[in-house]
Amino acid sequence: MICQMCGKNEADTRIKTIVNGDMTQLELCSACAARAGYESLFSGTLFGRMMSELSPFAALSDMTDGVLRCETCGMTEDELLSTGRAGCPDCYTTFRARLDPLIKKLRGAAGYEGRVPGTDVKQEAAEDERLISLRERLARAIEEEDYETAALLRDEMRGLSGEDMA
Amino acid sequence: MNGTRNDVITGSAATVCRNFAGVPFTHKLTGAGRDRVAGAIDSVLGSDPGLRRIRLDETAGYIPAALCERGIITKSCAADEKTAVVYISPDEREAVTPFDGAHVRIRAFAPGLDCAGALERALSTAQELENRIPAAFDPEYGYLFSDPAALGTGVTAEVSLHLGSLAYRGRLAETAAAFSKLGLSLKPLDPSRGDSLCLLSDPLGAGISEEKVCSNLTAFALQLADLERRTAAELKNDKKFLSRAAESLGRLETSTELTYAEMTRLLGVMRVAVIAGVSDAGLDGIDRLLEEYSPAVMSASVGYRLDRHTRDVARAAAAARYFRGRDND
Repeated sequence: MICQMCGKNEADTRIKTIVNGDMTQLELCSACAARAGYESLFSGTLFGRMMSELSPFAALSDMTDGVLRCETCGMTEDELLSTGRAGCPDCYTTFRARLDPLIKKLRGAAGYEGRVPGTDVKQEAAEDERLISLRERLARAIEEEDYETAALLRDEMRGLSGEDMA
Repeated sequence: MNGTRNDVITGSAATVCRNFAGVPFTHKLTGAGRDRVAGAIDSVLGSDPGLRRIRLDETAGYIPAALCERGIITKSCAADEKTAVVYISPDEREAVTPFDGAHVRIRAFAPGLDCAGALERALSTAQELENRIPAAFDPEYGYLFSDPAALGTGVTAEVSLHLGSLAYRGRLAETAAAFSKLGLSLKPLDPSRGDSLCLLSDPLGAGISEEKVCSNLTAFALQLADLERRTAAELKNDKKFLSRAAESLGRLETSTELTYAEMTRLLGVMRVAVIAGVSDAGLDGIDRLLEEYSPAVMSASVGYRLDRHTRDVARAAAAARYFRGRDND
């Protein structure tokens, strides 16, 4: 089949997308698929390159024989559903349309509230300690009716906790 | 034990699990992939002066067993022949085990009740790794794991408590059921050591921050400790318990052989007696006996495998020395 995007090359990648339960299918050549952004999110990382060399499934495109398959670990949707376990982090991208409602059901409406990679743990701990100390000084200042100092301390606390000064 | 509230709460731990971006999860990882992940972890942690690298496959069998008995590594890690390396801090308050559930499992400990301190230490090592090896993370789901139910912070906080009075009164099951309704797990730390040494943990902590996991657990651990103390106070005038405490003390002073299970049971009763105020045996000494006289730890301390009989005799002698010595004070 000829690529539906460029109309020149042989299509070797099938992209299936499901939006609100409606599935659309695109047959693309690998160059057009890459241009459209259908490649591993992690292919630029050290581990992405490492695993693409390693994985026996590296040569597989997203779709082989009409089966949606994870590029990184080779897991299929059927396998994912029967085992209940993802094969690799990229499965959460590949099978997002299928997994997202299940994950939301498991977690409830609450979004992710934890830290993100790159957060400086030590700096955060130091800021926490500083906030505690400021809170104690603020309580003392209020007790002593030193409202000028209390206002300064409050502003400093707002600055540390990232609150809008306005 | 230098932490706070150590009469009932014996220790706190925080575990941080991480997988790396673009790499199959542990159950799908091939031999070569495993080697490369292990190499990447070693390139970061192997040069960390705060961690000692131990090759488990090159040590005597009692070393992993001793680490396991002391709660530093998990049973599955100690039993897994593929776990070649663990990284342990010199003070043994932190352990990093590759391929234990996730690509890397970082566990930090603190004496008494200090979940926040343990968490900070574990997160600091996680950050050191993440700075060099991108973590599997999704802004919407958090840190990624093979089990979709585990997506989130990758953090578990635990508090170990000695609930001897509740166990004696047969109230552990109902207490565990009540905590289960709050999403917390309360279960024996190691069933082979009896049911009074328990672990309170938040197995999921979904939808809340790492700090909240710790502060929630701390609040519940304090409530549980108060319940244990109140129950212990009731035992002060319980003749049956007083007789059992006296019998346990007698056994500890005079036995010539003690299995670890038996010693744990007897020391458990003495611990309750101390908290109830009917014995001055000293919690630090009791806890030291519990920590130092488990089977593999005894072998590790002498540097060779001790047979069961030798261990039972040495254990009984240590208990007798401690409790008779206190009588002579």
